[in-house]
Amino acid sequence: MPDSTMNYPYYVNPKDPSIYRVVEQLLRAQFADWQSFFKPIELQAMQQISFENPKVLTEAVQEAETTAAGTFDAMGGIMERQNRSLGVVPTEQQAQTSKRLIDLEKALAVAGAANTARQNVRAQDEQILFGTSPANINIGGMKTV
Amino acid sequence: MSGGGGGGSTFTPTPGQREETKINAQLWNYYQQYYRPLIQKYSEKVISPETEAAEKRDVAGKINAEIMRNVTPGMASVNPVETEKRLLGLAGAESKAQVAGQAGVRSRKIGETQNIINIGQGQEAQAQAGISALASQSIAAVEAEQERQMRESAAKQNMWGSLIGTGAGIGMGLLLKEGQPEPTPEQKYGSFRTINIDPNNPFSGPVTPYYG
Repeated sequence: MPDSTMNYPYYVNPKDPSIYRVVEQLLRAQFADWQSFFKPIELQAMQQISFENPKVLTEAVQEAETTAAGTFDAMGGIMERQNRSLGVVPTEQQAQTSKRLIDLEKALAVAGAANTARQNVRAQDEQILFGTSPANINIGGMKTV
Repeated sequence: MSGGGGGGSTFTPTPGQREETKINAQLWNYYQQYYRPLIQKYSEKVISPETEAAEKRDVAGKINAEIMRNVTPGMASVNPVETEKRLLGLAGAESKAQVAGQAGVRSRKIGETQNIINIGQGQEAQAQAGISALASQSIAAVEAEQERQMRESAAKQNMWGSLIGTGAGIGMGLLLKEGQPEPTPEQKYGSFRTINIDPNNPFSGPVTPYYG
């Protein structure tokens, strides 16, 4: 009766009369499977280490900066709508002060986001290399995912 | 001794080793058929950039919704600066949460990738173990046999050695007893008045022999 697993790429015939050949086939099959499937994943993971691939850090920092800036822009829009809803029209001086304050807070947040992103990338480097989890894994939205 | 079909291998597998190898082959085929496709699907999901992007959007949306729950009409003030301060506080909090969320998604992706790597490394380790599985089992069996033989041999030698030693001791004792009277405690252990000073520590003072 033919074995139902015979069509798989690294099939090993357990009924081979030579036990040595079975061992040899097993060894070859396991290694070939690792080489074809797992090794590329390992190499890809290594490419996510920032000092191996500097783009990782650059992209993470850019993403964080864009996110922080976007958050402040969105809040600026909300603020305008809230003021309008109450019929508040800021004076020229108030508008200028408001803009300065927003710009300052935004710059602070963007810089902070970039610094946090750098720290996170470093922690992720360690996670890839040593299999450790960064301490901030559960901060923010991760708890709700 | 010939292995038979093993290209001149020195060791002959035992029936148990033959059976174990056949079972290993069957387990390997089972893994190929059922487990391996699951790992394939899991890895495709984990590694896919679309998955990461979707998770980031999901996390960002949840954080945003959580923050926006605090933006209520009641928080608006007729003083625009007051409204601005409140909203800027929320923006700062959201910014931090969003950046942490992005890092969290990346970190989770790394962890999941690590899981796949671990499976592969387990397989690699298994393959490494399989490199010489039969040979090492055979070597272990031969070594165990040799060790058993050596132990037996040593035990026999020890037995004879012990008997000879015991006999010699008894003989010497008899010889001593025949020619000499039993020594006094002072002859055996030294005088009570002997001042023994530890040469390594001359300040330790005299040591009084203790006879128990």
